[in-house]
Amino acid sequence: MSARQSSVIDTGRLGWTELWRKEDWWAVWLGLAAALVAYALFANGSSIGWLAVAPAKWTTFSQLLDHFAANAARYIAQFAILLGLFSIAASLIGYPVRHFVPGFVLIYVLSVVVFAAGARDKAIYYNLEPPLIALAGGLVISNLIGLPRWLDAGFRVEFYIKTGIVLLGATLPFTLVVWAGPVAILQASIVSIVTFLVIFFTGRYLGLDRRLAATLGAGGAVCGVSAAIAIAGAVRAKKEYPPIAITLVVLWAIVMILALPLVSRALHLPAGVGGAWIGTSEFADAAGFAAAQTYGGFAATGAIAGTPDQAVWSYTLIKVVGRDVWIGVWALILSIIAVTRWDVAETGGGTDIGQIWWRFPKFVVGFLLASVLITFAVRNTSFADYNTVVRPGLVLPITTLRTWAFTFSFLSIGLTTRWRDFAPAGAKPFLAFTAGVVVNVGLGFVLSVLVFGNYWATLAK
Amino acid sequence: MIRAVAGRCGACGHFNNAGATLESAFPGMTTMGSGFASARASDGICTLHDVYLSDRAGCDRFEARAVRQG
Repeated sequence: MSARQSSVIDTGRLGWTELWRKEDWWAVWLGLAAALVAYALFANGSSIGWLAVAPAKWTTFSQLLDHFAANAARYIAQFAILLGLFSIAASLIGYPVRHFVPGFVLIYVLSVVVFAAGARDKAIYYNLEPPLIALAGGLVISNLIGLPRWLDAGFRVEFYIKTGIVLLGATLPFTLVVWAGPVAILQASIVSIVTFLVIFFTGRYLGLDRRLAATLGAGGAVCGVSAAIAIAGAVRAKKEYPPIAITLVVLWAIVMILALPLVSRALHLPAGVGGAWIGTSEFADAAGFAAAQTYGGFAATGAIAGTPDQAVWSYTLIKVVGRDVWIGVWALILSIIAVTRWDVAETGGGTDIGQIWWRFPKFVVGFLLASVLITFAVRNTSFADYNTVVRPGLVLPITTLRTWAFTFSFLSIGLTTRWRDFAPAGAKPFLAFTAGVVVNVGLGFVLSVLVFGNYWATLAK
Repeated sequence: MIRAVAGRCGACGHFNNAGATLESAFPGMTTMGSGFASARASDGICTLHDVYLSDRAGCDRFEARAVRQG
């Protein structure tokens, strides 16, 4: 055997290096650190609220300018700390830092604009929810104006959303995870399995290769692009298959960001029910959070019943707890099928049960730890004290930091979606995936509204 | 039946699984995914067969990757 040119190899799944080389773990460290600092300050009579600044409701432009003038030091400190922490993480994960920094600066500035636009008092009359403003603004900039491609280094959709999810865990009572988790897993599993089978067998009927059908099925059934990539690797897909799945997932995910909240609102679904439907029928975490936060925004204005938290929490329970955590199991099962039953003409080697953990979305660990930590810390607080002391001093500041992280992510979706760059999917993969979308949305509606509707409507009441 | 192989992809010169490489190879990946996520484990691209697969797979055309000296 001859020795070939050395190439870059990632062996991060082996050993402890994964703890600082995978963005999932960095989301855990950053999110948990923020939650711990927030609690430490709160426990000592202070609050992280000074740092968790965001534009307040405004009517006239001068009010907005006054707000920024009065809080300039807070914004500068917030920006500097976020830039420092994310840059350190970026350098160790392996993003090109000299490109990440200007990309992050742009994301932060645009996020300030999005926050300010969403905080205008008239925004509610035009359905100008911040996630939709961020998504639309990003799409316009990337597709009509254009940005240097190297700035993409700072547009890390997944990193920001995972960090936000860990912060979300710090505001979600763990008792709720225990209470609603089993139903979320049941509902999500039913829809995931049915959706996968529909896409897979429709694809096979149309003549698609098994590996492409499986890659598409996972993308539609489990957790979007991440699942498609994971399953493509597990079944040893051709190199051109993942981009086909990516194109279809992103296309339908963006359609659903707009469609699911608006249809749910037209049907007057309570916040918890709409969030559950979005969690069941959206494809990617970041896209789903954009839709769920939008729907929660409708609740904040009184357009639908329930609270913003209910929409985001029910979404999170079904998508993160019910769907994301099973990606390793899907990969193991399909890799066994691929290795033992499908034709393996070119490659060999076995499969490994360890991938259930290797592929486990580690940010979920941080999400659960943050939930346990804060729930335990405030366990002896009365309901009245929770609302008057804990909520303003601890929960709301963490929620504001989470909203910043989510806004970074929503903007990054738009800024990285350059339609001309996406691989052409082809008619047959499109039809197979779309068949799954139809079943996924329909079955998700039946389970979220008709079967478990009362359950999700009363979540956390 | 699982076929025996000459060597694992993870040590093969034809195999590349760097996160940035994958993000370049798969257009749109960063829009709702990442080359640096846990879910993809250490999967990568075999440039010999044009297949995306685990670093624990392998084949008879394995070629050991050169180790950089110094």
